[in-house]
Amino acid sequence: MEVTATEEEQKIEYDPIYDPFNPELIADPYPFYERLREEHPVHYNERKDFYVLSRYDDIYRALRKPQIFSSAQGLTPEKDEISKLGIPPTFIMMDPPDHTRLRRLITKAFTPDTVKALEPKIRSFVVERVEAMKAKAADGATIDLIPEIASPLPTMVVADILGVPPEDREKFDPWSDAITSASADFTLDVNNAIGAVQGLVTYFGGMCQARRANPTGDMISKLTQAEVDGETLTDWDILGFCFVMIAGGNDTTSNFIGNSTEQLDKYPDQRREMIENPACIPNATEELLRIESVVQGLSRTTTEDVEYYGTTIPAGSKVHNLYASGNRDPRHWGDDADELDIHREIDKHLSFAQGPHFCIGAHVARLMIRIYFEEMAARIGENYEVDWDNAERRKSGFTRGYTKLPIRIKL
Amino acid sequence: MIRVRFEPSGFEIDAEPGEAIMDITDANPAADVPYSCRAATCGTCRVQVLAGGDALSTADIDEIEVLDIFGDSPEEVRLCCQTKLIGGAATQVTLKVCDD
Repeated sequence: MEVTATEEEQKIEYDPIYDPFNPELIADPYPFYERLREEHPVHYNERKDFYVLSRYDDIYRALRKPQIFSSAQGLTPEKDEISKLGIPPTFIMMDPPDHTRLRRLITKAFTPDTVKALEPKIRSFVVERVEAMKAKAADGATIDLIPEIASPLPTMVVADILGVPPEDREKFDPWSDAITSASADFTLDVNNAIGAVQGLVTYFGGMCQARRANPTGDMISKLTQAEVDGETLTDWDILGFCFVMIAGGNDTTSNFIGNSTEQLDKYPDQRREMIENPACIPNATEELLRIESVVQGLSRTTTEDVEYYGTTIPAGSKVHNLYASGNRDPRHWGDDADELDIHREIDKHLSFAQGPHFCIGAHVARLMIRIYFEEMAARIGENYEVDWDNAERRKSGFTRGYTKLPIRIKL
Repeated sequence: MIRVRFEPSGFEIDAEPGEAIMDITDANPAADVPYSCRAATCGTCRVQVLAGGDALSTADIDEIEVLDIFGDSPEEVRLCCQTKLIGGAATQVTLKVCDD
């Protein structure tokens, strides 16, 4: 399977050390990341005017210092992404203490009890999907894992948390795809992303008004009634939460399922172990999250001059933190950092970030993944093979996953 | 036995030295303490120690680093996900969820 460059992409002179839009990097970023870590631990991309951190310790410390590495100017290397996209104010693009106040409002949607309560619904959904895949396979069909289960699963869960009725859920995928994908260059995709943001704003704006008039107990209803510093949230504030849920929660789990299918295909003994001993699944999940971070990296903006290895990053610079590189840094993980080891003792991987912006939906994602692995193990086990010739990788330097992943189920 | 009170919920419970605050709040959602990472990174579960600080375990470097993000000192503010009750002079602990 190859990622091929378009004519437009071939005309661009990419930064050879690190350029998230370089098709070669999108196809296989890890040799680039190794070179960054070993030879350019602080790299300046002149073409797009941003810096890159690639070693675990540097990224870990940056994420835990929001006073110096601010999220308020957006999370991509692009300098004016917030105004370009016209997105509502989201708490992921804020710093403490504003971030803390808003984030706390939605932590209640992710308490242990609330997450646990999702389990029967998620399991029933996964069982239904896996059985449907088997039925199609019995009719001789090749199954594309992405539209059959990987993508609908998080869509169902995010929609359920937000209170979106089933008939409207198919709108989500094009929105999250457009917002999180970037191919040749940021500017080439911005119009698509703006359209997605507008679609999202219109839909959830209407939902906010409906829930203010008739609250139903879903997250949007709760947010319409919530107060911060004695003031209720505006519809625009609530749209910011919806944006985070859709953009952050919808395709991340889907991409994880694609990536982990690839990893477990490379390591069939470990896949067998997970099938035979489901008690391995939680630690295997953390290792799979580590080895192939869905979110390859996110950016911050420096609030003061910062020095790394003799290079000064000036105040006001975008700094891209390559989580996926830090997750394979042998300085932190040992010489086998590039290898999958489902028994590895995992300290703190970077795939859910670290610090105040740690992924708020991490526990829901882990629940979805555990149930997915358990039901796939119980109902299909090792009885499938991936049709790699027809698989298609997501064309993005910022998120890693598959858009198409056909499997042949052997019944 | 230590009496632990959570503010602003007003929930109170008796607990034994050695018990983790997170275990107490997980078993008693009425305590109403928000969590997210549950691993000393995000700071969502910060609480002000209004009383009984000497009945709480000492903060380690991970916790101190997270508290520092918010300008808090471990003498006044703790992360519920990292804090345990210890035997000490205090028989009453009062923890108030931070509102900033």
